[in-house]
Amino acid sequence: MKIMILECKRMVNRIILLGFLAFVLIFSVYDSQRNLDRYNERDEQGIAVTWRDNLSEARNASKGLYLDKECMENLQEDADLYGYLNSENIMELISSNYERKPLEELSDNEMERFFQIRAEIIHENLVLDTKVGYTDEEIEDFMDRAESLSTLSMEYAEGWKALAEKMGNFVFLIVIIIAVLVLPLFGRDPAVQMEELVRSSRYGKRQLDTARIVAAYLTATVLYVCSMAVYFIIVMLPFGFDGASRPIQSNVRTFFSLYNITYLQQFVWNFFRGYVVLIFMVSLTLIVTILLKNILAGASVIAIFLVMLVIFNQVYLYPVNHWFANFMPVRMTNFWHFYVGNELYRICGFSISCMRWSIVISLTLSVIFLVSSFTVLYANRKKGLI
Amino acid sequence: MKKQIWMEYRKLWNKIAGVAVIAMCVVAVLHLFVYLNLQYRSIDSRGEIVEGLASYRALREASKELEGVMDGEYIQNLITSYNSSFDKAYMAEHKGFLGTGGMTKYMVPNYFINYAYFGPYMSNGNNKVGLDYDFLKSEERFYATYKETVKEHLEDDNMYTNMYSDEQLLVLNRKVDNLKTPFSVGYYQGLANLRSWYIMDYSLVFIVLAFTVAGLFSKDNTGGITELTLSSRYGRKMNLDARWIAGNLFAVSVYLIYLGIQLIVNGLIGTLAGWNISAQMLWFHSLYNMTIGDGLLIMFVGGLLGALVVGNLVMLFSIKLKNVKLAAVLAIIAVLIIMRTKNMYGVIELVSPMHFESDNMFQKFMFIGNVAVPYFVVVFVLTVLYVAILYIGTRLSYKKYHIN
Repeated sequence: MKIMILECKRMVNRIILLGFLAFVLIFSVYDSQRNLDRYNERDEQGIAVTWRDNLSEARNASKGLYLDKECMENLQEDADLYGYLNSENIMELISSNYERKPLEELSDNEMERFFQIRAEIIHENLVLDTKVGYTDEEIEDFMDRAESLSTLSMEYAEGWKALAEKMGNFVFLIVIIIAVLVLPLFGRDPAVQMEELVRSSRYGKRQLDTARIVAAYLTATVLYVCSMAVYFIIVMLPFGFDGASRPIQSNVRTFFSLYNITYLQQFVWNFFRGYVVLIFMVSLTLIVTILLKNILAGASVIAIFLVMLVIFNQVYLYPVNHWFANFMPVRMTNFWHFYVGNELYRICGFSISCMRWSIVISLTLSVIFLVSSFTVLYANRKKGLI
Repeated sequence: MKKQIWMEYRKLWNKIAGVAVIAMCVVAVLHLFVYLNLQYRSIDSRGEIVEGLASYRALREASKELEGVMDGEYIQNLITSYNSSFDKAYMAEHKGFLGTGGMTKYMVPNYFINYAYFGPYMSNGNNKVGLDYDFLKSEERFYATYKETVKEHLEDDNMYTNMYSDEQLLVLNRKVDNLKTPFSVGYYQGLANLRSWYIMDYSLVFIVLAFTVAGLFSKDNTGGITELTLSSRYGRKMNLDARWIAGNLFAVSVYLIYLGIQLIVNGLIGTLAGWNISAQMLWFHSLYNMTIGDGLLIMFVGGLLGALVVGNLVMLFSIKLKNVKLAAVLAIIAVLIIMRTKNMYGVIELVSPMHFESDNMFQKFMFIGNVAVPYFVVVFVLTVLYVAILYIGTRLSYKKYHIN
């Protein structure tokens, strides 16, 4: 236990901790400012309506608001009835649902059939998809989920939308920084010649190896949870926390999503997915540094691996994404495609969503890396290399 | 001195360099093999669809009959051949063929001809390979149309970028008039791949340099080597100069390894055939009478200059911080910032080393009076300037480089 605490301290000393927290704070405030800036309405003189007024107006006007025929008819009569922001949000959804047809041109029947039309678009997309080649059963299952959405609350949930918007980038950055902090655990710094001394001590072999690995995961978890908490609070505070139980379909980016979940559930999914990415990166960093035994050599391999993922992400190629990139940090933290991509994996006769399967594979890879780490360390100890 | 440079150079090839360079090579090779294998398919000379890596050689074989000089006779033969071809019938049936990685031997000549019609709106796709144009009736009319299109394209681009004044556009138009026609045609898909992948993966060189050169002037070596070196006769100014030269040689070496990998793998997959055909077949609105090989060579030299700039930047960090880890962290942050400029346009295209390897080198111009200077000349001058400033910055620390 004591060794583990010492190793944790070696990873994150006071200066590193302060630097890390400062980064999290600065980045969160910057993201929050950028989010809020999108809610400022501008005219030629500058800001005409501030984000604060805009949001409070939207909050008040959206109480009990549902996207249905009545709402559309009201908007046809008075476009500003629900305030600027709510109208914008509703118009975006209508525009996606009716293939850019303006609200004024919608017939009664079309308005009545809002959710059927949504389901028809989803059905058409599923049938036309040539890459996955959905079976009838899979389409039926998807359509059940599509059709189960029959009401859509448009109550204020701007904070959750803003959170979902940029969280992926933040998680990716945090994961990289934490992976860098893990590097010195097994990566040796040639300038500090303590390795031989430490290894000759009483608990300097198996116990030390285990303590270092536990310390890596423990510190990574604590840092991840803390940084996400800071990010969550700073991004959400100006918006308020209301809207947690609203469906994610009220956001235009996830309007066609077949996951009938709330914003809070979406955040929990994203948070958990980010944590899985973190576990993967920590495991990868551990095995690389254990094998290479050198901080910079390990860091260069990790950096080039990440650059490779970024390069691969530039060109969309279904087989590469399907069989490789979907389980890797860059696409794992690019959360949107999990909600609207409807990608499937067919394993042992079961159709499993990409949302779930990517987590399973990523965790399996992490376990393989971890077992390999223990094996290599064991082999090194047996050979007397450490 | 030579021996010192050699020894310092050898010292740079340590474990970190070995691992990083191998990782770079693996990623570059993987990226080429996986993407070229999965992305493309072609119609071969017997009218069959060949998929994967073999499609390039099949395309080359099929393209042999269309090699030549695009004069009046060639164009008429091309029209006859295309209209009765399997390729045309196949593409009429498969509308998305060319837009989804399909290739036909008619791509090179037909796309070029279609550019004369579509100009700035030219893209890949089945709807842009037709040859049903009036201007194809004579060679003169075709090239006159082509040159007018290039001029329109330049003007169109300028509307968005405002890079050139009206007078400067006239200077560029004169360059268009001076283009020597007819152009030569042939297969160049291997070189087109080389160009794309060379640009896409270029940032790997910067990453490798950030990790490896960071240790050049570091003083946290083990075994007191730093102290020993600094106490020896040539261990100060001469040794530090030797290190600087070795650092530059190392940057060149890493870059050449990267380029070598790109050349070898692309040579194996799509071959390097087509280096002597007219540049306009690949860069439709190029204003120079040169070949594709010349264009790529300019890009390769530009890439080398970019690597030297980044190498020198990392060396500056190395001598200022004297700590390999800190220098590497700072170098990586700097490299990431430089990499972010890849999607930026405007002046940044000229000043950021991330753009030194692009075809802007001979596609864009800077005007001095009424003389159009291509970017590669400016980039060359800029590189000398960058390296000189960074070298002076490095040199300023020579006196402070002493035993602690």
